[in-house]
Amino acid sequence: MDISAIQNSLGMWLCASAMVGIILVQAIMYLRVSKKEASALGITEEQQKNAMRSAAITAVGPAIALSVMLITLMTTMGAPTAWMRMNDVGSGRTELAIASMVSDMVTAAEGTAEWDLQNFSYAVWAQGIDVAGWLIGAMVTVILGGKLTKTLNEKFDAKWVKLLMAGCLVSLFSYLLLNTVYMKPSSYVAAAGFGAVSMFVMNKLFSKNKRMQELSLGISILVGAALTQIIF
Amino acid sequence: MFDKKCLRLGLISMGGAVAASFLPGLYLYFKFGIIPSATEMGAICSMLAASFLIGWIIQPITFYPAMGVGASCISWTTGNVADLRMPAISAGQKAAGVEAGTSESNVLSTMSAAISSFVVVAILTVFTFVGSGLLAVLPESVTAAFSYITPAIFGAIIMDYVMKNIKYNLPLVVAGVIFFLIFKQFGMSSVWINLFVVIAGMFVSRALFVIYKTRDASK
Repeated sequence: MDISAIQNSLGMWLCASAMVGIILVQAIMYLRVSKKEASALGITEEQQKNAMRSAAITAVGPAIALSVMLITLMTTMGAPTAWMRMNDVGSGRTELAIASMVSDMVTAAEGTAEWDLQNFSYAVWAQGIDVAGWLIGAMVTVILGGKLTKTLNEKFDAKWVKLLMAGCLVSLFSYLLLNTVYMKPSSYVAAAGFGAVSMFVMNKLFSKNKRMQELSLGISILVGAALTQIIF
Repeated sequence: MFDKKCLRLGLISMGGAVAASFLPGLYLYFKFGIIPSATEMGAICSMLAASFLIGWIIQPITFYPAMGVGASCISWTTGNVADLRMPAISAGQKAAGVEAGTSESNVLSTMSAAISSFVVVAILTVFTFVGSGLLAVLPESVTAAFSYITPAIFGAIIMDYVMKNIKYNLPLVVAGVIFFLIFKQFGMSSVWINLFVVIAGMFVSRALFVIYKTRDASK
């Protein structure tokens, strides 16, 4: 049997659907719980709507960028596996790397159908373990993290704990920005600069316009990326 | 209470995702009888652990203070934490006008992360079925611009934070740059640099808090 027929078989689609199904159910459940809690905390319906709309718009650009990786992964792993792994925590680049890492272990004669199948099976297992690793690491973190936050809140000035949490967000993004531009071509630095400038302009010009504030990040991303592409 | 609910929900759904993650491998085994042997499985595990173990442990911890329980669970099930979930969370909090680090922001992080899941599943599903055609239609100049999305996001977010609270956030960003460069000099791997930049930031924010408090008191 041809490997791409196996990769794109109904069985593979069903397996992939199970993962995507879990992701969707998870999102629905969290949305319900957080909407209830938001109302209890006095966050207005309007604020919630604004937040959701803004989060959705902001996610569109990066999600489209993912699709390039998706197409690449589809050509090597088949559509269902690519669809599943791009939706779950396995990142495209890592999954491709893993797939090529395991090919050294394959014992079947190279170029045969057995080789293809064995290689695919090993890659799929390795990806499964990688994804499980991320999930388990995160599960341990959230179990221990809750206790840590509780201790922090009991031991320290609440005002400071709030600043600390907010500060972590800023430090995290500082790192992420630097890691994206450090030792990269100057066009990447320019993209970050254009993104920052468009955010600055949007914040200054539309400080009173709620709708534009919601869109500001989504627009800054597009303007930043587009300007960079035009100039470089 | 909310965190407790999020934790329970997270453990159940992530446990399910762990199981689902092995389905394709099991399917190939039952259908074609092909599976890595125990030794090969061990070799795969150690190979993966060597490359990713530190990330599996350190990355969720690094992002946890900024995301909280609910958003952590969603984000580590669905991935693209830094370049997609974090920006969505940050945008959601901004649009609702809540302060970061509060219970309100925690709830909105969870809500924003959940919404981003729907968006990503929808877009990836469309591209899975019509993707190759769609990408082929786009001119190359457009697809090439995709790689600039990530730096543009981070540049915009940093600017937003600095404008929102220049007193705290500007020193934090500057400190982040300094620590990043110092840690790079030591040749640390990026996972560790990420964690240490966040930890160093905690000390900086403590120092800022104390400095501004004493200054206000002396006024």
